[in-house]
Amino acid sequence: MDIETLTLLGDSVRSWCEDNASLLGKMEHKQPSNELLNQLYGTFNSLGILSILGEQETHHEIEALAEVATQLAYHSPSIAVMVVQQNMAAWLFTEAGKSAPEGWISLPVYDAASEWRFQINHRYNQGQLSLDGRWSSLPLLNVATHALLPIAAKEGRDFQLILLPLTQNERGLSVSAPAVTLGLRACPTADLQFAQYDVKQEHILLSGEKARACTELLWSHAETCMMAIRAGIAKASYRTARDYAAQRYQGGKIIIEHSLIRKMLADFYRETCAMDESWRMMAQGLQSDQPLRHGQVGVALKSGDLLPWLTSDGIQILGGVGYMEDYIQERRFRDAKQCEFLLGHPHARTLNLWHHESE
Amino acid sequence: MQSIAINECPPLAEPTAKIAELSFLERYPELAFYLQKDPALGRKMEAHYRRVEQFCRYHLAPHVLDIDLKLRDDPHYVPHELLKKACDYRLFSMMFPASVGGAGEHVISAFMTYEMIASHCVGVANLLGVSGLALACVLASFDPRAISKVARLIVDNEKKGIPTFLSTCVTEPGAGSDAEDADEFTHAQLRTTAKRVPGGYRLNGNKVFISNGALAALHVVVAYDADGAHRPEDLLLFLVARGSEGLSVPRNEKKMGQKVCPASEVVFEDVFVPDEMVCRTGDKGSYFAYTGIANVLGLTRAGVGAFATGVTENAYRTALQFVRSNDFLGQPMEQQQWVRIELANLARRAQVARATYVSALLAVCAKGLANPITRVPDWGVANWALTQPGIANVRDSLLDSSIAEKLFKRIAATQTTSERDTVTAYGDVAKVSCSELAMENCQRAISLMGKGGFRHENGAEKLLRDVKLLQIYEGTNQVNMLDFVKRRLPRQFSNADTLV
Ligand SMILES: Cc1cc2nc3c(=O)[nH]c(=O)nc-3n(C[C@H](O)[C@H](O)[C@H](O)COP(=O)(O)OP(=O)(O)OC[C@H]3O[C@@H](n4cnc5c(N)ncnc54)[C@H](O)[C@@H]3O)c2cc1C
Repeated sequence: MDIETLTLLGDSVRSWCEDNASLLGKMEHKQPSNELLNQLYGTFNSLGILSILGEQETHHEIEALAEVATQLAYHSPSIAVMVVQQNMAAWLFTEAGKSAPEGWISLPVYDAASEWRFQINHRYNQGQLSLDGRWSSLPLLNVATHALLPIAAKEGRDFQLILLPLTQNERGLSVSAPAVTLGLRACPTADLQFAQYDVKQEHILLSGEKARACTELLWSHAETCMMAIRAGIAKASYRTARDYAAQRYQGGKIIIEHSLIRKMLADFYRETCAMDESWRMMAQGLQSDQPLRHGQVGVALKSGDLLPWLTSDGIQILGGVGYMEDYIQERRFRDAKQCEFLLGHPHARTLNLWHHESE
Repeated sequence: MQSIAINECPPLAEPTAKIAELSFLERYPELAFYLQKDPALGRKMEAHYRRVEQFCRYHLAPHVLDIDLKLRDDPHYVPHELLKKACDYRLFSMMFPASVGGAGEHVISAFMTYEMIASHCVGVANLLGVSGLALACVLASFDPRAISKVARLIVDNEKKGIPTFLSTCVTEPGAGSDAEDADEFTHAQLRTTAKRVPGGYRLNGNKVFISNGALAALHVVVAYDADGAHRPEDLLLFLVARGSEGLSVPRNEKKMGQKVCPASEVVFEDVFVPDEMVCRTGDKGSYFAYTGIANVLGLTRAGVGAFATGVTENAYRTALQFVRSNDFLGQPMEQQQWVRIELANLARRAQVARATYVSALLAVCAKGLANPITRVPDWGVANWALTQPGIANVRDSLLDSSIAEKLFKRIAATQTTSERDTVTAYGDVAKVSCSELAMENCQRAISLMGKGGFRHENGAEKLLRDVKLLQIYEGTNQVNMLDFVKRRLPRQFSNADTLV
């Protein structure tokens, strides 16, 4: 994707967000209805942002998706997460040589590849894959038509990527009520409960070494998009703080004139710039057949750690007003913390990173 | 303007089992040294500690998350049954001397109560603590008549099982941090004024973010004398009763956390306040403005330290509960060394926070606003006699007399500037350090719990929403530190006496 197309895409997403700012704000406060989420699916589909990753996932496409994600995250991080996960799903279908079904698809974006095998119990009964247990916190599960789950290799069996239809009353499969969460409330999560659920042959979307490698590679590349989401949140929080400081009067002057506030804003700006630049550099340095380099993963994890503290300062600069729901600053703080876990438990991922190094 | 409605609370559920609590002296070993001198006080404190523990375990802890969920949908919900229970446990009158019918607990016990309640729900601690803040303002006026009026209202209602809240109305749209510091009051755009009229004052103004604004039976209001020159010495302190004509509470703010303690806008439109409800701050208010406010902040910032310590402890306990029943990469979490160290660090921060606020509290007891209260003797049988109706009248008229006023003000005048600065600086440190430790613990507890951390049912996400407020109210942490510079480093900088 060339730079003009990329800019155009970013601009069109930004203007869509600006036109729909009040809808996005409402969705983030009160969990949106399935009807509204389905409408959004239709809108985004027609905007062409649900299948940006093409047949050959290249760094240009990841860059384009990350650009869309950062623009969306500035207004609504939940929607950015939804769009990124839908793109991830669409790309896996492309890899499987199948066309993706209509509607939202739920993916375990809160789990790292190293965690997949611990999510549910799976065993093979005369070749039949059977699932038990609970896969928790799957985004959009209550509105999705399908869940796409990676099943780790076990008992001499290959890695499998299974596509479970959620619309029918499947025996042994149930979906919990949406969880009440800290942040990203417009993208509700729920749990998928299995009770001796037999996976049918037609549910297996991809299997074998290629399936594992491409799924893990995709998770690795999606990191760039998740960083772009964090950068979008940081930028929004920073700008709100800066604009507020430029008009709030305390201590005998506009507070932006107090050197303490200037220092806080300057530090905030520095980190926001670094976060924004990091995902851009990462996207440009991607190699489509290689996972992220260790340094890149390190930067991504750092951005996850840092963002909750930055957005906490974002509230602090506003004082009491920052704590109120009417000012979006408190929401950014909550979203930021939840974004720490995008693509997995940070401790699990840190250990995993080191594990590769020590090998 | 319509006042907001308060909704009823459904019956409370059965208690649930909790992690074993620390014993009194395990939690406060530093107090053992002081209590050696007064073993009776030690026993009284421990007995109170046990009662509060029981209140928390049986009446508070099992309902905290449900209450929070209800408040998410309905910001006007009030957990009435829980608050009635707090009356049974005498949590409203705990700080009043037995001679006026209060529970006669030591100030240290009151702070422990706030800490322990905050270790289950800091919003509930705030609900009770805000009344403490209002009370501190009244105390700082050293007007015995006003003090006994407030005490009687709370004590009498508590006996009838009616929870009674106070609010402190200082902040206004143009006066936030500036109204948190006597020296900055000159910058504060405090627009609430009181105009002298026959028999009292007429109040006009608009207060914002007032905790308990929607619940308070009495609002303690700071306003300028309309006939003065808007100098700190023109500040007056009023007690405004709920239902006064012209008083309204148009809305509750929608806050990120501490939802159980409503923060509201409170509007005064020509509200008449009779003379007997005006605190006699004396010396044209200058004592109250310069000495009183600093003393109030020394006390209440230590109080925020106690809240924050409770949250720090809660984060540790919440993480511990989660760790005990969850695996990490296929292994039980509690068996992993790094997890134990994370937990140990959570517990360590709680211990550091506790030591920090307790040292500020001891400073307040020794040389600050709490000193006169701690001097009220425990007269045993005489206390009982003093609370009997006939004798109570004599006692009240004595308190109303100017001799009592002079006595109170003499106690107030014994504090030197250096002592006041020390007490306030300790308050600043307690508030800033404990709230930072609490924030650190909440962030780390969630990170440890992973995606379980952001789900409401596990408790940690509520903690993160709640804890942020501790860095904002009673002056933002930044403004608290500017105050610290002024109190502790005046000789190190020129112009250290101002926040600008
Ligand atoms: C939920 C809640 C409950 C509350 N309850 C009460 C209550 O019961 N009663 C009551 O009276 N008030 C109450 N408050 C108000 C609270 O005390 C104020 O919010 C607090 O003092 C900060 O003031 P502010 O919000 O106006 O922020 P501001 O003063 O506008 O501060 C904005 C920013 O400017 C900075 N700043 C301000 N002055 C200076 C300076 N001189 N130099 C450098 N930086 C500066 C601050 O640190 C902050 O970062 C409550 C607030 C909240 C949020």
